[in-house]
Amino acid sequence: MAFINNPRLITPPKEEEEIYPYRRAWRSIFIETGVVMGLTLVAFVLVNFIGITVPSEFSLYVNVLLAVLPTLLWLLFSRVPENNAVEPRRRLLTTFTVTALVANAIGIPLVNSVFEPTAWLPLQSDVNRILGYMLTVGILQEFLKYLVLRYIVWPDYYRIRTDAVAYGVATAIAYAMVLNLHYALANPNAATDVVLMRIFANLSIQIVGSIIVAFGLSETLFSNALSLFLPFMMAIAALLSGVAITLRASFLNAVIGLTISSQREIFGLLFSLVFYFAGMAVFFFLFSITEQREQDRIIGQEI
Amino acid sequence: MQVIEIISESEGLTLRQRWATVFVILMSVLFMLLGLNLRNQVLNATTLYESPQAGVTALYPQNWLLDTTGSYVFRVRDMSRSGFKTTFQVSVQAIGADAQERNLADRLSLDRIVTFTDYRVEPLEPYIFADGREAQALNYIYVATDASPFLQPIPTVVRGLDILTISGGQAVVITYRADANNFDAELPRFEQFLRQLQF
Repeated sequence: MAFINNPRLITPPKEEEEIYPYRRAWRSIFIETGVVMGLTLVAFVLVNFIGITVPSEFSLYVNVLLAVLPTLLWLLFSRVPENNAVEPRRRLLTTFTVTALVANAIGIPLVNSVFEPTAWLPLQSDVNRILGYMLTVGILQEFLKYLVLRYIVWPDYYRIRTDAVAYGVATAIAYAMVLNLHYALANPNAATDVVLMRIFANLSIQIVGSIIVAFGLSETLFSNALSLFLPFMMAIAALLSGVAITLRASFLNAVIGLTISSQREIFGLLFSLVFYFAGMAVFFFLFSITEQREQDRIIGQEI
Repeated sequence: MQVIEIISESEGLTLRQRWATVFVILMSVLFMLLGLNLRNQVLNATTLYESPQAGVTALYPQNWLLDTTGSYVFRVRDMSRSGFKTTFQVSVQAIGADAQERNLADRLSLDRIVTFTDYRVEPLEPYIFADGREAQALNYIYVATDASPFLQPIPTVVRGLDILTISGGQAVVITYRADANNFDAELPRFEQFLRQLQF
């Protein structure tokens, strides 16, 4: 029984901490959107309560800079850290660039000249507007982003479930950047807080939509889900886009009254925050639970 | 040092995954077609207007503002438009027994030249209704300014089109006016209005 007296066996061997080889996609998203959210709130307070505004001669430049801010944050917190990851995700920048080009060349012209939602939807009831935006703007945006993912990275570059999140967010940031740039250039004198609220609203709609489609893509690839699961997820993403566009406008619009009334910006911002957190919480949970089940299944097989 | 390739070559998609791609494309195209159909339904939706006194029945665009208080049978305007509101108007005027569309056009021009700013008229052109009735088309432009000076509006160039015809011993003037930038885009809607107009 010599091993009883062996001092090396008294203390159990220290287990080496396993290095996670991929960039943590969820953390990057929450940092990026958190910064935009924080800046939006700060700008709202500065403009509305302290009275600090950007001089009109600089407002265009500031607004354009704000429109590309989410992209800069994405490059800083998502793309650059990929270089330091043990197993970096490839084609992230390609996905981003192609989505931006597709959004600018196909998405926005198609909405403005073919679907023309502003010509027929504003006077409709809320239900009709939700359906209208879902069947035009919502489905078009999600479909274009899906096509980019499908033919550039899916399925070859998807190794784990959060790859779907990382690539999905790249398309979302690109599409939102184009929408935001169009808005900033079309409204050069818009107040900084209004621009930031629009930027955050676009960002939240795009990210939530992309995360939903990303869940569909990951389940289709890793769990061999039913063929109708992915189109179902895309329909939900389009529907939520319709809901977000419609309800945000409803919350934002000024009420009719006898006194002077203006847009209720804070309600629009609160709606965007609720929409973003609710959507992200649900799909973060779904991603986590499917990942956990997958790990349990693998462990079960090994045993 | 040995390089370990993590990304394996694509092993090919399963049948379900292939069908998922097909279904996504089909569903997206179907949704967009439904969206276009919904758009056309809304944009082409009409409301019935009847005036037994004037003998006029028309289907005008839904959600346009109907006005029957002026010196016309009725007028509808697209109030959702910013700037000059696109207008369709039908009016009936008494004329002499031997009057022609030409006389009517001259009288309209003489009236407008003193009320409209920078009124310019183009030569009359023949126009034929869907039921074969003949008429004359009078194209013109003028500059309109918003009635409220507090809004400090920029004047708008308005293009107008009058369809002039004589029916039952009275002159019928069907008018279309729109911002010059929107005139061509809205013209098909006016043509549809004309096709459905009965007098």
